[in-house]
Formats: sequence, C-alpha cells, structure tokens
Amino acid sequence: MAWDSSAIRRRQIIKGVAAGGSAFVAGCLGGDGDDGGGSGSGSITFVHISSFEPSANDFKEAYDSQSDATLEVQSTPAESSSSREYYVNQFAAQSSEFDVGMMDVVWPAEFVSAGWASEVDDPENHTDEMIPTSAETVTIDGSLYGMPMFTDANGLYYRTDLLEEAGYDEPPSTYMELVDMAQDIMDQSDEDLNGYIWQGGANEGLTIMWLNWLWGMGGSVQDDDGNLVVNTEEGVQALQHAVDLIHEYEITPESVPSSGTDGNRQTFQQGNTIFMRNWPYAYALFQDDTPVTDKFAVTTMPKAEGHEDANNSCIGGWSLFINSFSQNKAAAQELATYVGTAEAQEKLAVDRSRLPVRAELYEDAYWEDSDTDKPAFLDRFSEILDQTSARPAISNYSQWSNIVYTECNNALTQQKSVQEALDDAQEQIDSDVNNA
Amino acid sequence: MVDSTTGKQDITRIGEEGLRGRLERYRELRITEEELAVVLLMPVLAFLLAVSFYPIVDTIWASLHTGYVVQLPTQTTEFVGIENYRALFTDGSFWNALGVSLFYTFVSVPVELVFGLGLALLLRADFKWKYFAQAAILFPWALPTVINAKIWAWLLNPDYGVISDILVRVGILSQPYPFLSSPDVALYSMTAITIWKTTSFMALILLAGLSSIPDHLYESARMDGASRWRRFRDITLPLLKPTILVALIFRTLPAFQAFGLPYGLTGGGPGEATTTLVLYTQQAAYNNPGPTNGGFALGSAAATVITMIALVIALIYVATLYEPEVR
Repeated sequence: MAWDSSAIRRRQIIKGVAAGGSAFVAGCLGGDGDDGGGSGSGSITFVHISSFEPSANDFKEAYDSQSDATLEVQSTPAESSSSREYYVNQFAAQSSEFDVGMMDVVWPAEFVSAGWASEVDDPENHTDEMIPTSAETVTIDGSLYGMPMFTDANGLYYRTDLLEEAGYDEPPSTYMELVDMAQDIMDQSDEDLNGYIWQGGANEGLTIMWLNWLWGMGGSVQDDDGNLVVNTEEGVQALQHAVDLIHEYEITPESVPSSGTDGNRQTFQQGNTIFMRNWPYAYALFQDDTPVTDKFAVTTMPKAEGHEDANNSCIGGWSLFINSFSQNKAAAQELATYVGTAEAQEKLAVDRSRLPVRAELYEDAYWEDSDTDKPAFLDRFSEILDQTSARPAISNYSQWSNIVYTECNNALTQQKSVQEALDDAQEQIDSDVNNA
Repeated sequence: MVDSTTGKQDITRIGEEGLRGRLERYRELRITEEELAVVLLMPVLAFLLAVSFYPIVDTIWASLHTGYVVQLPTQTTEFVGIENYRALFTDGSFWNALGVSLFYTFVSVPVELVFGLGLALLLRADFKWKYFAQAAILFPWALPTVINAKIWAWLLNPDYGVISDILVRVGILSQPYPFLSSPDVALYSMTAITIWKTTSFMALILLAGLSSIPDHLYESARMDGASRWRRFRDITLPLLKPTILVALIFRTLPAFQAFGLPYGLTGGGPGEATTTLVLYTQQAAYNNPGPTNGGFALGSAAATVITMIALVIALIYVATLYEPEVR
C-alpha cells in the first residue's frame, strides 16, 4: 500500500494542525473570560492617565484595605486626547475591560449623551462640600455622572530674579504690560532670552490659550441662542494678539506654534524664559533642583486693559467616572465615593500637588486640625481658581476644539490672516457643530 | 517517500471510491496530497478572513451607514448610501491631506530607491567591515516609528535641538530655525526623516536582489569589453526589476499610509501642513465618534478611499514592472 510511513507522518501533521487551530479559536473566544461578575467583591480595573499613576497607587492601597474587592490599576498615555481615544475605542466595542476611568472636564457632555458614562451615586454628599464649578461640570440634567477628583487652572509663571534685576517689583497685570516688560527685560539682558512662551501647537492647549485671551477681553464664544461663534470682534482681537506676540512684538519665539504643554515646561525649566503660561503640575516639578528652583513664582493670568473683572483662566480638572458597560458597578461606586472624601482629597493635595475639589481644603481652619501644614501652592491657586471660566459643555466639544486650534495655528504660522482663519473656522463650526 | 507512480494510481482509484469508501479512508486519517493541501491552508485562510477581509468589508459597510459602529441602545443603523463619501469629498481638509500624502509618498520613495540602490551597490563590494556595515545600516529602519518621530522632534527643536545649534555654530543659520513651525519646511523635514529611516530597508531588499544575479554574466560582459555603466544598465537593472517592483510596493504603500511619523513629530501641524490621509482619517473618526455624530462613518469612508487608492497604486506598479518570465 501507498499509505505507510508518509501516511503516519501526515496523520501527525493533521492532528497538530487540528490542535493548533482549536487552541487559536479558543484563544479568540476566551478573551472576556477573566473575572467579570460579582457585586461589591471580586476586582475592578481603574484606568488612569499615566501622570496620575502615583495617586492611582495611593487609591489602590486605600481601596484594598477598605473594600471586599480589590483594585487593579492600568495606565493610558499622559495626553488627554490620546486617553480619550482609548476610552472611545473601548466604548465602541462596548467593552467591560475597565470599570472606572478618568474623565477630563470637557468630556462629560459627550460621554453622557452617548450613554458611555454611568450615573454615579453620592451617598455621603461629597459634592455639597465641593467648589461649585467642579460639581457642575459632571452634573447633567440634574444627575451626577462623575465624582470630581481634582481641579486645574492656568497660571502665569514668571522669573522673579529676572524681573527684579530689571527693576520690576510686580508681575504684569495686563496683556500690554507683559509685552512691554518682556521686551524691556530682553533688551537689558546679555543672554538670549525667550520673552513669553505658551501652548501654540495644533492641539487643545491652543484652544485654551485663545479662550483665555478672548475671556480676558470680555468676550464669549456662545451667543444668546447658544450657538458657538468664534469670529467675533473679541475672537479676532484675541487671535491677533497671539499672532502679534510672535511676529510684531517678537517676545514669543517662532517655535511656539509647534509647542505643547510639557515642551513649554521643559523650555522654561532650562532657565532662559521670562514668562510662561502653564498648569499647576509644573509648580511641583520646578521644586526639585532645577535651574529655576527658587527663582520663579506663579500668579494670575493678565487681562486686557479695562477688563479688570473679566475671567482670564481656563478651568481644567478630572473626575472619576463609571463605565456603562462595567460588570461590577457596585465595587466601582465604592471607589467613586472614596475619592470624594476629605482623606483622599488631602492626600492628593499634600503628596501629589493636585488642586483639591473640596472647598474646605483651601481654608486655613481645615489645616489647623490636620497633622500636616497647608501646602503653599493652595493659596496661590485659590485666587487663580476664582477667575476661571469653563470651555463650552457640548457633546461634540472635541470637534469644535479641533477646528479652533487648527485654524488658530494657521494664523500663528501666517498661512492665513486672523480674520480669514476665524471665518473659515466659523464656516466649519456652522456646518459641523451648530447644525449637528 | 511516496513513489510518484503509485501516488498517481491512488488518486485515480480515489475518483472511483465513492462516498462510503472516502469516509472510511478519512476515519483512518488517510488523505491525498491535494486534500492535505486544503487542510493545511484552512487555518491561514480562516485567519486572513477573520483579520483582513472581514474588517475591510465591515469598514465598507460602516462607510455606507450611520450609527453602525457606535450606537445608543434605542438607535438603529441607518443606510445612507454615499452620503458619508459626499461629506468626505466636500471637506477641504480631506483634499489637503491627500495632497500631503501624495507629496510625501512620491518624493520620498524615488529618492529612497536611488539612495537605496547606491547603498546596496556599495555594500556588495568587498571591504573589511562589510558585514558590520550591512547590520549597521539597518539601525534607522529598526527604530520604532513613533520613537523615531519623537527623537527627530527633539533634534529639530529650535530651543534645545542639536540641529539648529550646529547650523548656527557653523554659520549656516544666523539664529535657530523653527523647522516644525514653518508649514513647508515641516513637510520637507518629515519627508527627509522618512528617507533617512527607510533608505536602509530599500537597500536591504535590493541587496538581496543583487546577490541573486549570477557573477558569470558580469564576467562574460567584461570579456566582451562592456563598460561599467553598460554592465549596470544591461545586466543589473533588468535583472533587478522584479526586486525593484517588490521594493517599490513595500515602500509606496506604507508611505501612503503614514501615520506614526506625523502623529509623533508634528501632530499634523502647523495648521494641517503635515496631516497625512491616515492621520486625517483617525482625527475624523475620533473627534466626533458619538452615536449621533457619525465620526466613525466618515472615518470609514476615508479609510475605504485610502484602500482604493493603495490598490490602484499597486496595480499600476504590477502592470508596468511585472514580467513573469524575466529569467
């Protein structure tokens, strides 16, 4: 017969293929098999932005000791937009891979209207103790969809030593004061100094910068009918000021239109920059032995002349949300309740330099009863927090912001005039955002 | 080993064996060469269907509907015909991205081919550190794209980048230049970076092709008095044609689908000056993904268009360069 030795070999091959094939199929089907169900016990997964890792580990320690369930922590990129892409992917797949996540202040409208973020309970009434704006950002139609964790606001960082040398006692309070001061200091100095750096790259930071200037000039991006308008008089003036900082006053380097938040922080940290706009996190990083340590301070952002009462800073911050597709919402709720406690908030402020959302932590009285001293940055930023406005709370915020920062960036790099850029932006906003 | 004549007899016998006989034979795990071939190909076919053809069909499906990828529990998927394509083709950003991708692809690939060929010819020559050099040129290609992009973003940074610093020190520039803030220069920089990175890959493929050209052809040509240039034009180039085809396809399609480099280097800016088609697609899908917004539908339409263009490019290459009986 022809089926002797080769037939045996073939039989082995077939068996091997069959075994391998079924293992492959099993592998594909078995993906969602690991620890799903249960209520209040088992384990839940908390997905956080990478820079939040130390705090996530703090949460884990506290959570594991207080709950029957255990907390697993997992990281997404530091950049807010990349983290949002991760969440959107998970939601599109209706994945229960994670139970709790971190929600940037501009996401709730989108996450809630799409049915992605689940309602959060507040059994201990933490939100009553919080800064009103922080609780408002996660409250939609009277329901709570996230537990605020920390807040954020922009400040103006400046070099105290350089200002002093040039004969200035105080930081600038208006846009043009800043320009004059920067030009003067740059002229006086032998070094090659950057006057003023800010987030000018084609990303969220530029939308925020433009809003800061616009608000500081008394403008708004929402008209009486709730439509978003960007090519208003203040909108044009705000962007023109940004273009002038680079090309007319020459205090902002030409690299700024390709810069981002942390790139700015690194540039300032090198020690050759007078002014920088940034978030509180930079404050903590400048403390440990850098060229600018003990030579900088942070203050409120300047405003336009004649608009002393205008808001001029953008509110940021993150809350904790529960994934609608989570299989273990009871255990997830326990974590949400925990992050609103004074204990969790104090740890975030003292150990991790985050701005707490509980109003009491800004009062001196709170710290008199505490074992630790009040962190110094809380006083500086509480004043800044009082002058913040919020970005538009709309479900297609990301698209709006993408249009705004792309067109603003076109103006900064002089591909379009300011008016042209904002008119083009308005055209896209009218067709894609206002009428959507 | 199976005797080929008896093997043939077996196959003819099998044609007459009938269903019952065939089942009996299968029970004993006795099968023919052809049947074995089918069995062995099945896993690969199933794999390709699952990870390649299904997603393509699914993407085309998504591009013709709204509410398909992301939907509310109460919402149904709605067929909208070519509506998403109409939205795509009326979007100025799409045409800008197409222009960026075409420039990036059709500038970088020919330059890579020329440099790669030069590099391959050099590496073929005999010299002391030949094998070290062959391994060393692969370094840029082995760098992960996003890491490469971040490295270059630092190198090109005017404030602390080494490139501006060197150019200022040797007197070519009077002051640091913001390469990535100037729309045209940012695109040229990105193209130059990809040429730097993938020329070595091109060289590696061409080197493999060169090694397969028999030496005796060159010897006899030399004996006939053919010049160095004649030998290159009449022996090397024609015999290298199939390899060049493979190299061009391998480089053109990834270049046309570039995402990691602009994502990591510039984020598509300044403005949209370095937004390639795939970066545009990603932004279209993710900026507006909600159930009522249709970002994924628009992104799917863009992805389908990219696939079509890539297919056309591949077909043009094959039609112009493919010669089945080249040797």
